[in-house]
Amino acid sequence: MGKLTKEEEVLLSSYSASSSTKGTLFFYANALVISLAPIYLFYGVHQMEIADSWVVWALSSISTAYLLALACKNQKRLLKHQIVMKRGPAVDREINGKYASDKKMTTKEKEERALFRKNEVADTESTYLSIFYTNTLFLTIMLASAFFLLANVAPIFNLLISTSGSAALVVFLSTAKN
Amino acid sequence: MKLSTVFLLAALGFCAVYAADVVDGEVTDDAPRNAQEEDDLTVGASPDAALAFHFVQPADANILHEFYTGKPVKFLIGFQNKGEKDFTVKFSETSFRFPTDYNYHLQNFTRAEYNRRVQPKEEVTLDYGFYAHETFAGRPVGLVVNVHYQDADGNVFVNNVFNQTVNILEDDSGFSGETGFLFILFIALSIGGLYIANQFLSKLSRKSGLSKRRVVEQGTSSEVDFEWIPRDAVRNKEKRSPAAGSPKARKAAKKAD
Amino acid sequence: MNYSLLVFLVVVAYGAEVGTQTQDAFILAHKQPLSTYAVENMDFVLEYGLYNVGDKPAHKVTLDDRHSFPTNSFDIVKGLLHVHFEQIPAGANVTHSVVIRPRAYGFFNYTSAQVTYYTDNENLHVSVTNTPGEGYIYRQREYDRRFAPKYTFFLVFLALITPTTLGSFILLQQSKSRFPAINKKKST
Repeated sequence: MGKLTKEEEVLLSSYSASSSTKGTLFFYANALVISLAPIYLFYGVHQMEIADSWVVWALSSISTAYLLALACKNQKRLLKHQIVMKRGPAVDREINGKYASDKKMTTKEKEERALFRKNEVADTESTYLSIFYTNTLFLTIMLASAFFLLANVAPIFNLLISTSGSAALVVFLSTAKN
Repeated sequence: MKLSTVFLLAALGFCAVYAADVVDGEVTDDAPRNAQEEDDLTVGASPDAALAFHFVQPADANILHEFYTGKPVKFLIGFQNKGEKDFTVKFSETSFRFPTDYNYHLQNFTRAEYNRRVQPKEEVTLDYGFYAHETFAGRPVGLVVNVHYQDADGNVFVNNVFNQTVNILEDDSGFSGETGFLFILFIALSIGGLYIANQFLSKLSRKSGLSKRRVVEQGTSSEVDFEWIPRDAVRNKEKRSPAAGSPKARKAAKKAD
Repeated sequence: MNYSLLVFLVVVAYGAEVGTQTQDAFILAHKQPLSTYAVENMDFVLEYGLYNVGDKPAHKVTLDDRHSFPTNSFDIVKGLLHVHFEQIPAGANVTHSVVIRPRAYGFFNYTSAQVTYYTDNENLHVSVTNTPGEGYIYRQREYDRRFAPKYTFFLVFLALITPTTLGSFILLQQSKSRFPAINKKKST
């Protein structure tokens, strides 16, 4: 097999499922915000005492944030492949249109650039889509379980089970091998 | 004769002075004969205590003596100590009696335990409230309120503060579950009726529609649609169309070809 | 003779009035809380009713309830706890409402108020109202948990969620629109 050349390494890295630092930052920031919002809601609706419940709040926010970030990453991996398929022709057209006048470039280079651009676009789009999809799924399951299924459970347990349970469910759904 | 008339009238006059004077709302010396209707035959009222009774809710109950079922009836009992010793008001008991026979209890309400000590020359107001259950709606009942108290020596007294027939009326103002569910039932029945009518009508219209469609379906022309047949096959068919008839005839036609 | 008989009867009748002394003013004093729940730092309404069930008017009626709501535990928002009525006619009644605000939470014993009045013959009567008994003053938090409007919290919750969720959705649509997929026309 031999060692991979630098070009091949670059190519491989662009194909990998691991996202850029910007993407991961998005994921973690999103997970943090979405994990704190239910805590505020529970504080307001059930008038939870801060002194009594801060332990549960910390526990719930940490576990939810971690699980949500995990779910987002998994979703992104799944969606990126689909999006690459969909956006392929459109990106090709864009690259061709951009470098049509440039005669110096070979078709191979154009293809490479198209590939790179495809990857980039798919990366960002899958990030956005995975954040949106994970958020809505988590929030609907959390709201349904907090105010309908577990409505009569004590607020502390309600918070823990609703948030962590929904996040765990979302992670489970995101690990589907399509 | 005139002197005897004078003496008779004087006797009547003196009786008027010393007979029990019951003023509306205030009950004072209760002769034991009033208590004969109660079970406590030997217990009466104390002459040193003056009691008063007044309905607070409903506002016109003092005049009308009508209550509504399900709505609270509140009244006040005033106790005035006119003697020299302490009195302790123990409790008050309220009950519904049969209107024509006050010995028959229809309902006994919970006793209100006051245990209130009243100093001499002092007055106390005590309150009580109850609800008339809806089973009494439309009936007259006798309402009897008795106050039990004792003085510093331990003598027990009972004073009847209210003893009249009241009318219990039905409360029509609230939303009753029966009319609500009746309303919902009518809506459901009407929707069901409309649905069935719709089905029936659509079935009728569909029958006539089928007959119409039959007419339409017969509309295929006898001509062959050559679009669907590739030209080769058509040409072949024109050439080698087999002769209609028995297989023998077809074989003969083939040989001849 | 008839005339003297009539006079005699009239004298007897008046004598009856003086003898039994049942026609006197008698004030029944009622104290009841009108608010269903007593909550700390929230207005609480009390109603006092004075009913004259006697046959004579009552003079110089005073109602004093300052001792049952000490100022270190209660604020008086509206009304006075010490009122004075010149006269309550026979058969008439007076209602007086006071709005107070409890400062602390916990169990509270509602004691009776004191009423003093003078009857016609300048007799001082000291009366005491009924006692509503022991009640509980709830904490603000317990009251809010059940009765406060919760939609504000839901609005803030939505505002917290919207940036990431909707923002990512909008960015997605933007990048999607930049690369439209054109379907080749298929001939039928």
